[in-house]
Amino acid sequence: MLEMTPTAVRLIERYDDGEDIIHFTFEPVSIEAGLPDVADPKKVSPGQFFMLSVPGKGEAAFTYAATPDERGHFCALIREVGQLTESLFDCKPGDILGARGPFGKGWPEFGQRKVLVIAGGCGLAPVAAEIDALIANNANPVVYFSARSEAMLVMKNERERWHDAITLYEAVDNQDGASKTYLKGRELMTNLDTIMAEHGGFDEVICCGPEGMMEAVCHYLTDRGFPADHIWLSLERRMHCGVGLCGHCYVAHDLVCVDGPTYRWDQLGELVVKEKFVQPPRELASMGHAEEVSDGCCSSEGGGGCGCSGF
Amino acid sequence: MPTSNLLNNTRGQALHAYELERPEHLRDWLQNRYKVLQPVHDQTGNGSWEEVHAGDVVPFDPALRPVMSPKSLFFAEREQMFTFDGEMFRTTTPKTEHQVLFGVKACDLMAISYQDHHFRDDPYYQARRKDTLLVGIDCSSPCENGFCSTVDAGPQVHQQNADLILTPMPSINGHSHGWWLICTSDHGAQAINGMDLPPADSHWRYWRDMSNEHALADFADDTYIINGIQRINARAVPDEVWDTLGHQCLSCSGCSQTCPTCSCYAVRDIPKDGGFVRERFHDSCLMVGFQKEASGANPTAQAGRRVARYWYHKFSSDFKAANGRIGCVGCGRCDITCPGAIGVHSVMEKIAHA
Ligand SMILES: Cc1cc2nc3c(=O)[nH]c(=O)nc-3n(C[C@H](O)[C@H](O)[C@H](O)COP(=O)(O)OP(=O)(O)OC[C@H]3O[C@@H](n4cnc5c(N)ncnc54)[C@H](O)[C@@H]3O)c2cc1C
Ligand code: SF4
Ligand code: FES
Repeated sequence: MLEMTPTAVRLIERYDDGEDIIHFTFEPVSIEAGLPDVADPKKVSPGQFFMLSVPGKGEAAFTYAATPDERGHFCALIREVGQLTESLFDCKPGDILGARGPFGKGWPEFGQRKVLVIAGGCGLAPVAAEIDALIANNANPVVYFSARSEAMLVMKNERERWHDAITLYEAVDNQDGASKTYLKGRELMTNLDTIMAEHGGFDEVICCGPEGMMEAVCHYLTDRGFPADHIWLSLERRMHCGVGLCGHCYVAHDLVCVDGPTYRWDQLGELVVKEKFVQPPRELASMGHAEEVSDGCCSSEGGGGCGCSGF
Repeated sequence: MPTSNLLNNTRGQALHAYELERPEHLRDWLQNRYKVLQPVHDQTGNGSWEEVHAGDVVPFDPALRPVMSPKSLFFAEREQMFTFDGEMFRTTTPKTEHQVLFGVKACDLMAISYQDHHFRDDPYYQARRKDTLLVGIDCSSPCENGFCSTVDAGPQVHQQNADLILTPMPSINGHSHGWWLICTSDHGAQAINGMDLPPADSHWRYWRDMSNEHALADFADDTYIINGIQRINARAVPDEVWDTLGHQCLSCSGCSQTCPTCSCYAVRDIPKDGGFVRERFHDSCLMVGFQKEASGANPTAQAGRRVARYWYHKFSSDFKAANGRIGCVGCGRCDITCPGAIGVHSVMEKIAHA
């Protein structure tokens, strides 16, 4: 049977990590019966998420920004957007919350393959644990991270660590008052050209950020012949259960909470097109088809404020 | 005695059939051991599923099918999931007792089997379901709005969907000759063990199939439904058609409430004794906020997209791989309930000709 009741977890650390963004660390309240699944390093893989209950305020999905360590400590990077996160931001170390998970499919096993990670804004959270895993594997990933401004470059501590281990490109849109020079965030294509020139071919690309960014990256790559079945993304949908029951997180016949949230670009395209009206071939304009498919993936209104959102 | 797990039975063994004078005889027998619910005529005129106590003189109307399906007897309209006292979370296990749903029609049984699959790992649903014995009843003629035959759900009860099946003996020259009781599971057999019913003559199968043929011959023309299903599968319904249907949807969620296969829910926390309890309650994909994310993004902000979703989920073969069949069981309830014009018949009519 599915576990729908959270496990009690304690907030043990919090610090500001971007505008309206806090980096939280949790631990299970009791480990007498062993680590609960939600905090068990053997059960959680990068790219998965957990459901966090803020007592009396409800429950929402959050990515593991760091998967659990052997003590069961795990992290989330959370942006304040509504009532639940507002209450969460009022919580102090020592407070008890509820968590259940892990849920969803994490990133695939990349082994030693050469991976380029492209993240925008809060979209760094769902890929952060994967970057750590790749580093631990000596896979030597290359990371490109961009944000609106220097203040929005989240996960400071993690990035400091990564700078010592791998090549990390950082870009910001608005350079005003920045403490150092960054790549120009708005010049995504030029920046990707630079990365491609400096590092040559990649085996896999993981991308997580605002919809516009993910769309641009996918087009950039596929236009240059990079195979769509080696591009990976993470989706966000409203979730009420995380276990495939409540029905809220659908995309066509998939439920993102169990079939995602990570998707391969070509598979996502196939899925999204199932929700579209298809004209019979005789009415098809000369070659618009492929474009229609990929446009569809990013056509939802509103901006997923938090990087990973909005598809 | 009833076993602890009525769901875990072995179906597919040789069927045993018995003669039964009146369905009430079986019901009264079952009342000795179980809580028995059956369709009852109520003041609303819609009928409802109600408990019938031993000794109550309530007739059993074989033709009555309440507007509300038995869905919420397993997937409760409101369900307390757990409590939090400030320190600990504790699961609320539903209180259940061995119960019988007496006189469930083929469409509703198919829907229960569909939900059994969807909620197969849901502890709340399964707590109720595993303690329930299903007594099905064959329909001898189509009901108003029903099209179960089009979607392979009825009018005859599919054997694997019930523990016991009641089927009327043919009425020759207007004389009714009683019923056959078909036993399809071990639990069905245990439930009637001791009733000492006379075994049916071997021709019961022939007559049951004959009655089914008769019922099938009575169904209205369903070409537009078949056509509509094909168009949904071909994704050949233009967005404007969905948008028009979307404008006619009042977002009342009546269709989802009455639909026996709708299973969506939302949750809310209710403060209690310094802690809180979490409840889940039925939701509908036709509501504008159904997919609205905290960031404000809403993939299905347009009513047309939501109406398209509802019908895609009911009729697309895309779901067959996971669910074993399409989502609609042809009960026609959404059409009776819809105050706008987007029940199943109106919708299929429109998209078949779109
Ligand atoms: C797989 C996954 C991973 C995620 N990872 C992260 C992460 O790492 N970090 C992060 O910050 N976020 C993440 N999110 C997003 C996060 O779950 C939401 O931002 C979260 O719900 C926060 O919302 P809130 O509860 O504070 O807002 P709420 O107060 O719940 O809602 C804010 C707004 O949402 C809308 N809304 C809420 N409830 C309803 C309703 N019942 N009806 C209609 N509209 C409603 C309203 O517009 C409301 O004002 C993730 C989401 C998913 C699916
Ligand atoms: S969609 Fe309508 S006809 Fe089909 S099962 Fe649901 S309520 Fe019955
Ligand atoms: S979040 Fe409930 S089905 Fe996916």
